[in-house]
Amino acid sequence: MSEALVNVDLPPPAGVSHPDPWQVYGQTLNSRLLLGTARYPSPAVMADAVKASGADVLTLSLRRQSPEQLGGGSIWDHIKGLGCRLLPNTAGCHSAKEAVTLAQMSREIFETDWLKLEVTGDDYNLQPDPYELIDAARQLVKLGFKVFAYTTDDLVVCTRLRDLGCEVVMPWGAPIGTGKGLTDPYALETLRARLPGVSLVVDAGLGLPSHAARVLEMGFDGVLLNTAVARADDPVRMAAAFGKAVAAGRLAYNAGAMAESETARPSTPVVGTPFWQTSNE
Amino acid sequence: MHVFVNGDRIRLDTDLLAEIVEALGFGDRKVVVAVNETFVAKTEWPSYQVSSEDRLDILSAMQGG
Repeated sequence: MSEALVNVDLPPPAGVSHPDPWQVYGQTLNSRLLLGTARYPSPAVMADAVKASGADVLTLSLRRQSPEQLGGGSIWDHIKGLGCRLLPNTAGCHSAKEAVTLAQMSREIFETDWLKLEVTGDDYNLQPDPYELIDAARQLVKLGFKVFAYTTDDLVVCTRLRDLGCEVVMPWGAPIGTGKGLTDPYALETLRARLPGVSLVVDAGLGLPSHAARVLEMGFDGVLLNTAVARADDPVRMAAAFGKAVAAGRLAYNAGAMAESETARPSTPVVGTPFWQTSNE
Repeated sequence: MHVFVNGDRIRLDTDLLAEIVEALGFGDRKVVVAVNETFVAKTEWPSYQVSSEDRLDILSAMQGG
């Protein structure tokens, strides 16, 4: 393979990265890729990956730290120059009460009312608890939060979240960190068909850029991922690959895919086919 | 008075939250606080009184997915 064929043009993925800006809670986002900031080999690699991806929304969290750990100074130093909008999460919360408290703490420290709401119901596969999630979403919307609700692909739960005022609903593709891709495409297709007015972002479980491209081809508004980039052998190149895949998927969705056919249809015109003779017998 | 700070039980000489945060070395750090799993805004710290055996969570920004 020639060198030119493996050149990933870093950074930025210009030209294909922003074909279709979208509105999220009244804000215009250029990229449909939302990126996590955890599990990278180093903060510097994380920052380079963000730049290469073209993402303009980053997820963050809050954790206990000692004063010796600089009060989170390191992460602030590495994200402040990226110019990205912040989306703090409530990862690790197991009840609505915990999630609401952590959301309020996040709003004060990150100075944003955007919130990725996570309430875990099962620690084995980090599956969201639908009951606590809906309870938390109801409270947080009333408190003025702009909720991005991380949930399973259950249609009824997603519908309830929309009805509560969540403008962004984020069904999983597969459990967090598995890299399995879309384990139930039918459920996701159903969500897209039944909730046409909601911003639907597939969050978690993606492993490859082709997974992300498929999500966008299906008409989803975006993808949120972390591990697939952070744990790649080369996170910066993988971030660029995801940025291009997301842009390509959206471009394809807007272009409109051809209808599938059960039988072969020649793409080369049949008229004028050589060596073919009309039988006069 | 004893309280729990980030899971560890410690002894304090003051019950004012602002002074506690300062005494623990978080004074010039960007942190947020919950007491007994309830958020306490920074504007309330100077007058907020902590009770014995309260559970304080002092959190700061971290990477997340």
